[in-house]
Amino acid sequence: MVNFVVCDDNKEFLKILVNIIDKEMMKNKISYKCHEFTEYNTSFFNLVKQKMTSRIYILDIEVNLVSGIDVARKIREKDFDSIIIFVTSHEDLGYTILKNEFMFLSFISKFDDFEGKLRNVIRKAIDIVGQKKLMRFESNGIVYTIPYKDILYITRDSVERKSVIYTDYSIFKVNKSLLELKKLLSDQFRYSHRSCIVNLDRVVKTNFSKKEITFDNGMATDLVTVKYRKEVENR
Amino acid sequence: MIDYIMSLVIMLAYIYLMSKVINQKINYRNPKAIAAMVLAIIFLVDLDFLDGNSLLVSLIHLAVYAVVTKFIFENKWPKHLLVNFICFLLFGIIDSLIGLFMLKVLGFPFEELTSNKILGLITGVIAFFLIAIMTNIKFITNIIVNSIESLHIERSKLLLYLSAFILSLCAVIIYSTYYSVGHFITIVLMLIIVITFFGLFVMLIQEKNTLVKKEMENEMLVKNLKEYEELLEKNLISNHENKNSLLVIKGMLPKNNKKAKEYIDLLINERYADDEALLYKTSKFPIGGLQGLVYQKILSMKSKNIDFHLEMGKGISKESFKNITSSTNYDICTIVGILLDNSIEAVEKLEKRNISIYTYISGGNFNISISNNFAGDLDIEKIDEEGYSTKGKNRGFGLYIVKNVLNKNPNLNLTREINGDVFKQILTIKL
Repeated sequence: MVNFVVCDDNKEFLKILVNIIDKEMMKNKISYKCHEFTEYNTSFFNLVKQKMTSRIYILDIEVNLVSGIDVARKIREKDFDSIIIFVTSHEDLGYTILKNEFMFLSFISKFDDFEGKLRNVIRKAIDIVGQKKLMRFESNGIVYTIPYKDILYITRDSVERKSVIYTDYSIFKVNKSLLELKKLLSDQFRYSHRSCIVNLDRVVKTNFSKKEITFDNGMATDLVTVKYRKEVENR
Repeated sequence: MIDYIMSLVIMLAYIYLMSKVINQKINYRNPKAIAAMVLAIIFLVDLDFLDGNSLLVSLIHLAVYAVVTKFIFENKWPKHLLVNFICFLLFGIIDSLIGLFMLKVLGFPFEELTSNKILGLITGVIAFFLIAIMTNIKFITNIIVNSIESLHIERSKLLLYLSAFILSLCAVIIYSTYYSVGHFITIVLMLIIVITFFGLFVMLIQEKNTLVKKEMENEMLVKNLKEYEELLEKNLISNHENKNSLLVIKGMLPKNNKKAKEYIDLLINERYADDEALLYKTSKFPIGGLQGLVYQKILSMKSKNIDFHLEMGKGISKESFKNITSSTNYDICTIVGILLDNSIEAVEKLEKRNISIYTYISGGNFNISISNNFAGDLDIEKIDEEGYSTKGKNRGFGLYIVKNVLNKNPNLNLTREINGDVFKQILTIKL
């Protein structure tokens, strides 16, 4: 069951939000429940603390002078798996970074094709809710939260004794073994070599004779051996 | 031959110990390292001219090991010498324990232990195995690694200690060899001492000058920021007055002058509203100097077309900060200034340029979170090291200064997070 947690201080707007959720959820067979709030009060935070699967938060960015960002931070202190969607009444380009910082799914303006955009985001949220979407670990005092979709492959640097995570935007060198990292990953990640784990969702071409795996962003790795062919090809 | 094998075994044991202590793999493929090892072994075996002066032999061993391991691990000198010194002490302790065991438990006579080369080789092999076992026990390596980490010494102080050590070493060499070598060698040794001392003296002065300059700059910065904040407050008032004046002028304009009216609306709705919102938000910073600093950095972000977001959490009042001392205040401004400068530098050349500053109270502490997106190869776990930078030479001192400030001030703590392509640093201030 999907749990929608909706909060907006404007009761009329709250009704509109719940109505849009109902309309969208009628179309599929997934059972759901809406938890409605008009303020970020104790019962709201008690609900945040509860163990509940498949949660989608749809929150107003500012409710009675309480910052939605503060609320999001508190939610993320408890879990990184729930989905957070913010509705705002003002455009702010700076929100882009907050979206990545707190792993929000989306910011939706209340004025610009609100219903259409919210229904799209709900569909997207339903597709991914309940799935583990990211890898979170600590290495040398730094907490890493990396979405699976951003990872291309992970190798082992035997000289520096570090694992190297290749993503779309950066290369992270961390003090974790490949085995430790593999445990944090989902089934889409497989060994292609004893010192390389690849994200099969990002692989576009595998050539065992040329020893090359190519990813959807054009990057490639030669860390591939026939021994792991089954691992890579059998999904 | 036995001498060479013994020297090789001991050197390998020492290198292995050091690789475990600094958690760095031994790079055997480095030809310079292999050459240094071979030369060192030949040199160390041939120390007969010292006539059994064990202190001098030990010091020479330490110096030679430091040079050889420098070629192997390629670490920076100050920390490298410190680690070498600790490894040498550890090695000495292990060697002494084995010697004591052979002397007291196995009953070997002392003369036999010092003169029998086979026994010397056996001692070396036992030391090697003991080190291998000891360094593979995580508990023991953790103690050693943590001890080295806690021995954080400022570079200038480390240079001072090292200069004292090197001069003592030279003095011992002269004392031991004064009557056995000719005048020429004595003069050469004296010359080496003078040159070494002069070099270290110059380095110390340079180091001291840099630090003093930086401290003066920081003090000036905080002083200027406080003056700047006073100006900002006046600016906020005059901004408001200007806005009202513009509204009055707009009302006085003839109805058909649409262009002038539109321009006034643009000024009021965009420029003044923008500046006022920013001034209002930054004025909520409860710490003296921080408002001016953040405002100035945000203006710099604006001029570089960086999208920024400033979020002040609720429940932050100036009253909560009454226990913050002026030195902590100064430290906070230093750290926040460096973190913001680094964030601006990290994004200014990227296509996507985002920075967020977010303050909040959590667990009785005040937190300032500074985030920026980033791209490229970055060994984030090394960024606190002096001189580490992706921006080229003579850079990378900012976070080293931050680390020093944090080490000295127990009320401040810095944590780091990577969230996808966002690098977040959270400065926590105990209230």
